[in-house]
Amino acid sequence: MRYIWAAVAVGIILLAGLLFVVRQSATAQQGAPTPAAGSSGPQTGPAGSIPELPSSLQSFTVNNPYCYQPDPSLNQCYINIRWMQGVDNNTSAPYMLYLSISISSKVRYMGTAFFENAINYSYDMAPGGFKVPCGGPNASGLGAAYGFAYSVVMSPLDSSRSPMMTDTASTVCPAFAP
Amino acid sequence: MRRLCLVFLGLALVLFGPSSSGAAQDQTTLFVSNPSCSQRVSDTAQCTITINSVSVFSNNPNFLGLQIAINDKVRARFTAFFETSIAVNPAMLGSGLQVPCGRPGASGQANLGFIYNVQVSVLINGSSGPTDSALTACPYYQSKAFLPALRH
Repeated sequence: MRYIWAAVAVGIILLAGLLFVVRQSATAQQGAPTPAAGSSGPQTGPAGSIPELPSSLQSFTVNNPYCYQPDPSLNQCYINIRWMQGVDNNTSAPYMLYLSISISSKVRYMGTAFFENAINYSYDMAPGGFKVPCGGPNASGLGAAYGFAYSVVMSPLDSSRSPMMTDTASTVCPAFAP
Repeated sequence: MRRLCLVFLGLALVLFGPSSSGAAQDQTTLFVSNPSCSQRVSDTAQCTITINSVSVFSNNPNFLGLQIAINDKVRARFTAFFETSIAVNPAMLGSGLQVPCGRPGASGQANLGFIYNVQVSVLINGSSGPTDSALTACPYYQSKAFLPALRH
């Protein structure tokens, strides 16, 4: 009698294990991605059927902007950026055609990609920098030593001059306090 | 019982003990070369202060940037928004930071003009970062008086 109960117990354990394995395999099949109808192969590039194409921008690297006052007797400061680079992969649209720098929503620099897939900007391409008013002491609320704070926006643009990506930084200028 | 206590002690050290990466945090390093003052045109009273190289590296999460002041007047501010390092070379400041040269002996030395205190400071939110300051003496400006020729 004892052997019969032991056999029944072993059978129940084996049956439970079998059910567990079957349920796990069914769950794995439900979670697997199903390929789109009529497609074969990877869905990248302009011919793919993915509604949102991945950005064709390969990289966009910027340094921080800075502001300086060459002559403290003048209300003239200069904003510049040490280095900036946008690289397009040149294989899928949208293509990067421009690189812009805007200060307080005013475009101050526009680089064009015509022959290359990359646009570089260096501080010496705008000698001295972009002139802005320094502002009086505490004009930005950051202390008497500082004048205005400016929003500097750097963007690679596509053929319709729409930003493909945007980096924004705030830079503070020295105060004009003659 | 003793073994159990040791196991719990080990677990507590692993979970709540000092992490090895903590020692590497909040390091800020400032490198500054000495400033210089030049009078590019000898018959003008305008001198220019330049620093050959300034660089700062910081992994402090409150790192705000870098500023250059001359005689306590801020003249340049570099924002740290995207990065943890800033490097400055003289050409980035156009023709340099202009200051008055000063008359001969303005600083107490006959062959020099004014002496300026150039201060480079790392800006860290909520605390004071490293600061370097150096005195630089400018060439003098000898003004010339032109009297009108009077004719009777």
